[in-house]
Amino acid sequence: MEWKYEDLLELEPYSLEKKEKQELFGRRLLYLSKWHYQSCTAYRRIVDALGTNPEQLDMYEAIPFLPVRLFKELDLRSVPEEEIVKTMTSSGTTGQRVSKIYVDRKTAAYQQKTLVKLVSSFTGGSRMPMIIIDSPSVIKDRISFSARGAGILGFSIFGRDKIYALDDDMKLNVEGVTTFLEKHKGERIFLFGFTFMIWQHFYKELLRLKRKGIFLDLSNGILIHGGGWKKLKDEAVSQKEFYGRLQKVGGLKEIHDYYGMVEQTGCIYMQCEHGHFHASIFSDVIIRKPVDFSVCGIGEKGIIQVLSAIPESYPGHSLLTEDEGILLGEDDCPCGRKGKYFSVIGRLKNTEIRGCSDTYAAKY
Amino acid sequence: MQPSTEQLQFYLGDESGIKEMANLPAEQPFSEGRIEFLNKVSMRLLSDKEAKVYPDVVTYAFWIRRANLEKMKREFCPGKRFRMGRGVVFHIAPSNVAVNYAYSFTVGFLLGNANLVRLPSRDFPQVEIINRAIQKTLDGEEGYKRWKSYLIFLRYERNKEINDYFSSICDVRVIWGGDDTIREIRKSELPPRATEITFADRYSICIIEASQYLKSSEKEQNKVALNFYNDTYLTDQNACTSPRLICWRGELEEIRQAKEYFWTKLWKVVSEKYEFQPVQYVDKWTNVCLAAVAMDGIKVVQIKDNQIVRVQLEQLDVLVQEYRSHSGFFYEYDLKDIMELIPLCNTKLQTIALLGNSEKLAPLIHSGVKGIDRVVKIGKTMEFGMIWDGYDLGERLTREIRKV
Repeated sequence: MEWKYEDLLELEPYSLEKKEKQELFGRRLLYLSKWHYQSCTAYRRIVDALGTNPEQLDMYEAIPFLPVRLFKELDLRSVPEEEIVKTMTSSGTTGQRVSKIYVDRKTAAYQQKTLVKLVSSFTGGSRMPMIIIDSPSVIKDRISFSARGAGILGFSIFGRDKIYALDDDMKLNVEGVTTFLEKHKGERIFLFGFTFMIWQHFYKELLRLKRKGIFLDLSNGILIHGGGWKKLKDEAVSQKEFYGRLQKVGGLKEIHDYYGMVEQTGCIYMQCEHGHFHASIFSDVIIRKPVDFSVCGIGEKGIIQVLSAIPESYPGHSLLTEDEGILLGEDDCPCGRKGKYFSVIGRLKNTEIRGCSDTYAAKY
Repeated sequence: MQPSTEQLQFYLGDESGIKEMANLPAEQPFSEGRIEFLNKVSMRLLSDKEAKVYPDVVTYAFWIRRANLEKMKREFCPGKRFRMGRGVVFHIAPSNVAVNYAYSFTVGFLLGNANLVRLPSRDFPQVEIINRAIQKTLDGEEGYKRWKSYLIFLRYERNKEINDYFSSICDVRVIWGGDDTIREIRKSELPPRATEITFADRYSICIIEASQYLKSSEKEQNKVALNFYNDTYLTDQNACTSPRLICWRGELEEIRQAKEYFWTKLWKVVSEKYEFQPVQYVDKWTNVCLAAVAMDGIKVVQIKDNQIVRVQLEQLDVLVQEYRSHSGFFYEYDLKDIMELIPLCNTKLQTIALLGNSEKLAPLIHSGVKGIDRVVKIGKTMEFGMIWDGYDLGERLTREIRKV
């Protein structure tokens, strides 16, 4: 029988312990493997080459994983072309190949609903005034979405009155933001942006203003950011330092990073109060040893495989990333959330720059 | 126009030498002075502790010993004919193999030419070691100083104007691929009388006769594993000479058994000697997926872990030349008939590493295929010679003077 995604959406995102999750999430994943095997020729050929029979899989650890790079090389779809409602692309510098992710109406709806479940479990249910720390030009094209655009649109659902903090030249709109904060004084404010953009165009500007005696009070804000740390690592800025500085210049106290990628939009891994990334009931991570792709134990460094219960229109339910990470534990994070929690070390050495906000950084 | 000094980094020779080069006299091939000089470099390298760590440097050092050079001289022997160097040879070295530039300039030098060498862009320690030995030899004794003007080694960023200039002053241009590099350099014109040798992107394979392999002793089989390792992993299986497809000949059962021994023994060597970066495994896995989508009926064959990736082909597909990886990614095919290889023996095919009777390849070679430039034993694919890639370098880098 078909295991419907809707069944998972009924549940709280961090509510299942290992055994229950194996059952529910596992069944959905095994169903997806069969679905893509039947519906996507390329996927079927890969699985056949491995000698795997998707009908006989019993554990989702045994599901083949496609390297994320494959989405740059091939057009992978599991539904007819005319059902695709949007194509999402990863960021990439000029001349670099970008991932193309084909999304139909159903998968798009799952992505949005999942994101809502995950994020609202951190921000609360009600919509908040929202500051998007980016420029409006990023989302001009609504058919072809860049990862940055997709992220912004996805998160916009949590805002009711929205303002872009940066103009088309990536300059901070001080007047606009000041007025906005004035208008929503005393309310909880939601801020969203990509890590590098925040550092380069928001934080640095706030710092400059503060030195001139202008202080934007963001102490009521909750900031969610993603896109990877590559560029900040290059500037030798740690997460701790980044957060400390944001608090100093704007009073921001509540900040959450997330790990995610355009190939599995919707299933983001939110960072909890203890600094750990969390898999939810919609997703999972398996850390694998590079030498034989066997499963790493807790505390062992390896390549991150990501599993998502969402994708039906493209075979992206089980992917091998090019990131290194460490599994920290399962079901026992001090924050109380169930499921695996982990840390991300960064991109494997010697690969091209991926990640959402990194392209821009590569350009300037 | 001569490029400005800021654009060029010299590792041997200097700016003023470039101007003089075109006016240097060409000489007769294999002159005693040149042999002596190279032999001295060889001795220096062989006594260099640092050099010993790099088998490719040691191999090069042995190659330029007097005994080997004398042997090459005898083989070159034009008889009654009289040959001279052509003048200035401009070498563009490949970026992915450390010591090719050394073989390239050595041949140019031995044959009586002056050599302008663009070094590989990657910073290989081997390049530094060899250059140091040459520099010390040039500076060491009075007699070797005269060769300074015949050797200029440098690096520069991709730049058409510099290519234009060096091309305009050379008599022979030697371009070591890839194809994109060749296309790029060819945009720079050569003087009408100048010639060019291009080493394009090539593809190499290995053929093993299962029965012969099985007949050999365990010690010999271990040696085969080591030799095969040197043909492949030693250059990250990324050289033109590295076999990427292994064709097996023999009875089904023989092949099965030979495969088992061969790969198990290779796996041991690889585990001991090769150091992987995780990203290499991801690269190979990505290529498995791409190949599976592109070609019919391929099967991944597991051998312990990801250090060796084997992909069994159901039929020989010319696409294997395109969907190639590196760092230990092998296609395998069980040959029924040697003539099955015809479609693969196109201009791309360079070397066949062979374990078996080379007579059996004759019908294939004589069939008129455009590929196959060398047939060598396993372990010898990297062995450089005056005949390379189908070119007779002894002929290409000299000119014959007809005396009637």
